[in-house]
Amino acid sequence: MKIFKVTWRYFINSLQQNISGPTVFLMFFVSKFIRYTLFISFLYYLSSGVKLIGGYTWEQMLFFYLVFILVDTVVQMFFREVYRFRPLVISGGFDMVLAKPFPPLVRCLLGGPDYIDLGVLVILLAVVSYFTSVYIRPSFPQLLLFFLMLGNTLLVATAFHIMVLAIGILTLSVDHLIMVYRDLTALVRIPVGLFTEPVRSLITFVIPVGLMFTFPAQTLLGLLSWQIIAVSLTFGIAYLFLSLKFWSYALKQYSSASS
Amino acid sequence: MRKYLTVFAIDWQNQFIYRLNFILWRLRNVLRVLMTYFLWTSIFSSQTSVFGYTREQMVAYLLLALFVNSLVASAPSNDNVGGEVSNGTLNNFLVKPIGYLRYWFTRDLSSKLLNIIFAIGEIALLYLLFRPSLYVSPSIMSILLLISAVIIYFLLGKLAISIVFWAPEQTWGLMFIVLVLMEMLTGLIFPLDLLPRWAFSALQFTPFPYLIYFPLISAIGRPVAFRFLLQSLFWVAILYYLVKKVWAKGLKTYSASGI
Amino acid sequence: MAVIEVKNLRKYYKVHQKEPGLSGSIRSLFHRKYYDVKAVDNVSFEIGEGELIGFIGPNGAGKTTTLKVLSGLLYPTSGHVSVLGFTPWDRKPAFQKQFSLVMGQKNQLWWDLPAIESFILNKEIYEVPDNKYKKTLDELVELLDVADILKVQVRKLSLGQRMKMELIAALIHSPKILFLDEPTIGLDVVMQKKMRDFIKEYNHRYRATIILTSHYMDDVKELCDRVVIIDKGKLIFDGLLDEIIKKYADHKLITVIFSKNNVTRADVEKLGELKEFESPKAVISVKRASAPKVAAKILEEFPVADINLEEPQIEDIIREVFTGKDFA
Repeated sequence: MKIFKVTWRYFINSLQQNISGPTVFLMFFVSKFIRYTLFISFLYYLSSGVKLIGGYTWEQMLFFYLVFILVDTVVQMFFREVYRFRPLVISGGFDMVLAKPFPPLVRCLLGGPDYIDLGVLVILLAVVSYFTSVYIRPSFPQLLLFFLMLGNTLLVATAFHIMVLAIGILTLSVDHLIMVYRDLTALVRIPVGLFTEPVRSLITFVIPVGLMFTFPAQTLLGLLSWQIIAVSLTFGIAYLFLSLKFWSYALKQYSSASS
Repeated sequence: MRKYLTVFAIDWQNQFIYRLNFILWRLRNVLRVLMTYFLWTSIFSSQTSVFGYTREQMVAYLLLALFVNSLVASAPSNDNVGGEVSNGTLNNFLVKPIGYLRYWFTRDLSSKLLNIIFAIGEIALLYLLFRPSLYVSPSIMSILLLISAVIIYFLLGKLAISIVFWAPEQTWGLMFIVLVLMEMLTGLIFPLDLLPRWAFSALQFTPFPYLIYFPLISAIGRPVAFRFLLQSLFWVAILYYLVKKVWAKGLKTYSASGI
Repeated sequence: MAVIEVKNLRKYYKVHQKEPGLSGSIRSLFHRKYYDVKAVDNVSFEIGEGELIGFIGPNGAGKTTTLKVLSGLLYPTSGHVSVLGFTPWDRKPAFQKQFSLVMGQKNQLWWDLPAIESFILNKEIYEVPDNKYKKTLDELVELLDVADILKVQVRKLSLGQRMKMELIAALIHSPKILFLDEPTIGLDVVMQKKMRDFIKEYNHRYRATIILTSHYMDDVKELCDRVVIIDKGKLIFDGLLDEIIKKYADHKLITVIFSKNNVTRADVEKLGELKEFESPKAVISVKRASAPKVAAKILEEFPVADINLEEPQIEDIIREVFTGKDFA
C-alpha cells in the first residue's frame, strides 16, 4: 500500500532528523522527566495532607495520571507534525503538499513523528504495566476493553488534531491552537469524576477529553459500565467523521481564498 | 527612549492583527486556572481546610495568580528570541542603533499591558461565577516585588535562550526545562507554603517563588518579610549580570561564526 | 495540440483593510472592511506541448495566482481551465503525477538530511518504479553536476546547490509539465546562467512543457520564444518576444557623438525627445517611421563623429508597458 509506504518513509526521515540533534533529544527527555516527577510528587504530597480525593485512593489517582501521560505521549509522538502546521501554511509549503499525489491530511498529521517521546514512552509502558500488575490485577476481558477504549481514545485524538489542522487553514493567525488542545487535556490529569456538573459532562463528551483520558483507566479499574463504553465508541466514530467533513470544508475554503 | 516608545506602539497595534491568536492565548490561561480551581474544589468537597487554607482563600489565591501570571509571564520574547538568533534575524538588529534585549523587553511590556487588561476582565467574570472573598491591599512592597518579578522572568528566559549562540538548534531545549520548573514551582497552581517546611525553605534559594508567590501573597495583604524583597532584588542583580556577560560572549561567538 | 487551455479565467478574492493607527487597530478588531482584489481578470491562453513560455509582469500582477490555479491549488472564481485534459482543482493523483511546481523561495527538502532522502520520499509519493527512478536520478545528477553533494546535509549546501537539489526533487517523477515560479531568485549571475542552461536542456531533451515566471528579463529573453504579459490581473500581451518590440516600440533611439563641443542642448532638442545629453554625446528618441530622416538630418547639419540607430531595450519597453503607457 502506497500510503503506508510513504508514511513509513516520513517516519524514517524524521528519525534520522531526530538523531542528527542528540543534545536536543536529551534536553527534552530530561525536562519531561522533571515535569512528571514533580507532578507525581505533588499528587503524593497532597494525598498525605488531604482525605481521599473524590473517593479515589492515592493509587487510583496515580494510575489515572499515568494513563494520562501514556495517552498524551503516544498522541504527541505521532502527531507532532501538527505543531509545525502553521509555519508550513504561512511559508507556502502547504501548497507544495497540496500539489502532490499524496493525501495532504496524512502528510500533515503523520509527516513528522517525534521520537523524543519514544524514550518516555518505553519507560512509561514499563511503569504502567508494573503498576497494573501489582495494584490493579485486571481480568482478561477488562484488559481487552481497556485496549478497545485506548483505541477509541486514539480515534478521538485523531479527530481533535484534524480539527486543529482545519482551523489552522481557516484562520492563519492562530499559532497556539494545538496548545489549547494540550491545556484542555491537562484538565483531565485528574479523573473527570472530580469535576462538578455541568463541567463534567462538558469535558466528557462535548470536548471529549474525559472520554479520551479518564475512560480507559476507568475501564481497567472496572469502574465503567458497558453502556457508557458503547456510547463512547459511538462518540469516537462520530467525532472522526465530523472532523473529516470539517477538513474537506477547510481545504475548499483554502483553495478559494487568498493568493 | 523615543524609539522604544515607538516600538511599544507598533507592537501594540500588531497584537490586534492576531486577534484570534490572542483570544486563544487568554483562553489557555483561564483554562489553566479552571483546572486548578476544579481540582481544589473536589479536594475541599470532603474537608474544610487543606494545609491551613480554607476554600475561599484558595479560590482567591488562584484568581489573583491568574492576574500576576498575566503580568509576569506574558513575554513574546521567550517565543521569538531563540528563533531569531538561530536563523540570523538578529543580524538585522545588530546593525541598527537599538538594543536587541531592550527592544524585546519593550515588546514584552506592550504584551503585558494588553494581557492585564484582559486578565482584569476575566477575573471579573470568574469572580461573578465563584464569588470568592477577594481582599487586595497592594503596598509599595508588593509593587516592588511585582516589578522585580517581571524583570526576573525576562532575564531568566533570556539566560536560558542564550544557549542557542553556541548550539543554534537548541532554541527550545533549555527554555523548556525552565518553563517546566516554572509550571510547578512559582506558585501558579498552588500556594507554595502548602509544601513541607524544608521544601519551601529550599525554594527561596531559587528564583521561582519570587515570580508569582511572593508578589501575590504580598498583594493580598499577608505580611512578607523585607528579607524576601532583598532576595528578589538580589536575583535581579545576579541575573542581570549573568545575562550581560553571557550575551556579550554569545554575540562574539555569533559574529565569529556568522550564522 | 494544446496541453494547457485557459478560457476567461477569473480569480477574485477579498482582503481586509486596516486603518492606520491605534484607533484603527481597535476598530478592525470588531469590524473589518473588505474589498475585492481582481488577481486574475478574464485571462485566456493556450499552450502546446513542449512549449517554454515566460510569464512576466510586476509583483502582484497575478502570475503566481495563475500558476496556482493551473496546479490546482486555487479554485477560480469563474472560467474554464484544462491541463492535460484534467480539471486541476480536482487534484486527481493521476494529474498530480504529471506536473511539478517549483517555487524559488519555498523548499521541500528536509533541512537536516542529505537531499537524497527527500528524493526517495518523492519517489514513493509519485510511485516511480525503482529502475526508472535510478535512471532519472542519474541523468539529472549528471546534468546538474551534483554527484559529490548528494549525501551532504541540505542545511550545509549553498543556495545555488540547494536550488539544484530542489529541481531534482521536483523532476524525479519526470513531469510532463513544469511550473517554475521565480526559479533563479536570489542566485548569483553564474548560477542563474547554469539554471537557465539546465531549463533549456530539460525542455529540449524531454519535450516538457514549461511555464516560467521571473523578474529577470534575462531569464525570459534567453529561454522563451513566447511570452505572456500580465498586469493587474489582465493579459496584455501574448506572443513572440520579438513582436513586443514591433508592437510597443514605436520609437527608435539615435545615439550621436559630435566631433565638436559647440552643439547645444537646444539644437538637439528640436530633433526629437531628448533622452540624454552630455556633450559631446546625445541620445534622442524618435518615431520609428521618421528615424532615417532624422538621422540624415543630423549627419547633414552637425559635425558627427559617430552615429548609431537602435531598437530600445526590451526591459525598457516592458517597463514602459507597466508604468501605464496606454497602448489600447
